[in-house]
Amino acid sequence: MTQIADIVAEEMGLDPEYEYTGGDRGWTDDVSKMWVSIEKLSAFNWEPTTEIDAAVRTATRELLEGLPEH
Amino acid sequence: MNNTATTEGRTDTDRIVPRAVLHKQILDTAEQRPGTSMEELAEEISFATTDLVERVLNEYGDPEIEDDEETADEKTMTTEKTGPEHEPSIDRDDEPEGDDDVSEVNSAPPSVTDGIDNDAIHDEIESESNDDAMIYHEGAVDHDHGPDVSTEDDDSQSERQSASDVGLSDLTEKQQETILAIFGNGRQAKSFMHIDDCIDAGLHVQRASPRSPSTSVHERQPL
Repeated sequence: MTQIADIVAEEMGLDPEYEYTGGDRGWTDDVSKMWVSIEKLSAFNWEPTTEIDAAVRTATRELLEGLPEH
Repeated sequence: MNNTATTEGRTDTDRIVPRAVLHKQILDTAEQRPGTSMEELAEEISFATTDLVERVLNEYGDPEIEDDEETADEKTMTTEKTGPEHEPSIDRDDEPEGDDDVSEVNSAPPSVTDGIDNDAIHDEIESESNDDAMIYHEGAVDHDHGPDVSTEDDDSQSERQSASDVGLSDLTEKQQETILAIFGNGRQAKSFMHIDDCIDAGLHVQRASPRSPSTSVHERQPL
């Protein structure tokens, strides 16, 4: 989560100070670690074109570009 | 990046505490120490007032009371759902965090959510999300030792009291940009895929599986 916050902050040009609520879960029923396998997709000879960090960064940029200017 | 996982060792006089952090501290402490009065909780938790503790416990539910009433509540809900004039409703007062509300609404069984004004729920979730973004301003309190309530003068008490209602609009632009509340310890790890890859993967599998239900739809003869 911190890495995602870092990426989003960087894309927004901000340098926030993080305050953590604590605990290894953000909320009740949260999952601390969740890795979804793409093994079955790979069996179809499919591979992702974007690494996870780049995916978050790209999605952030796309969201920011879609935001109305104030 | 300024990461401050803890506040230990900080003696700054102009620190800001996100509302979500303070609320969670209150709820956690109340759960860990059953029987502790609101006044004692307020004294124990830095920057919390008795009024704030009371408000948070009323709003999110006192964990101590929740444990005692959990069984009784379940029985009551079962009775209500099966009643002839059951009006679906979601009592969200006992939820600890705003994000829980989203999963609660999404995972609620149809018998409970049928007929609910989704717009109203959305507005409420949005409102609570904004609430989480609100923060508390510590003022000139020494965080290492916490506020000394017994020797606090009226001005300090007044400052803390008003601080409990500080919202984003009360902050400077710089303050709004420099504080970010992160739920948990920041080490939660999830896998993400960009939406373009997700769609591409779906189409790829569809093309590779000529007999899949999604492709067979196009092969059907018109009725």
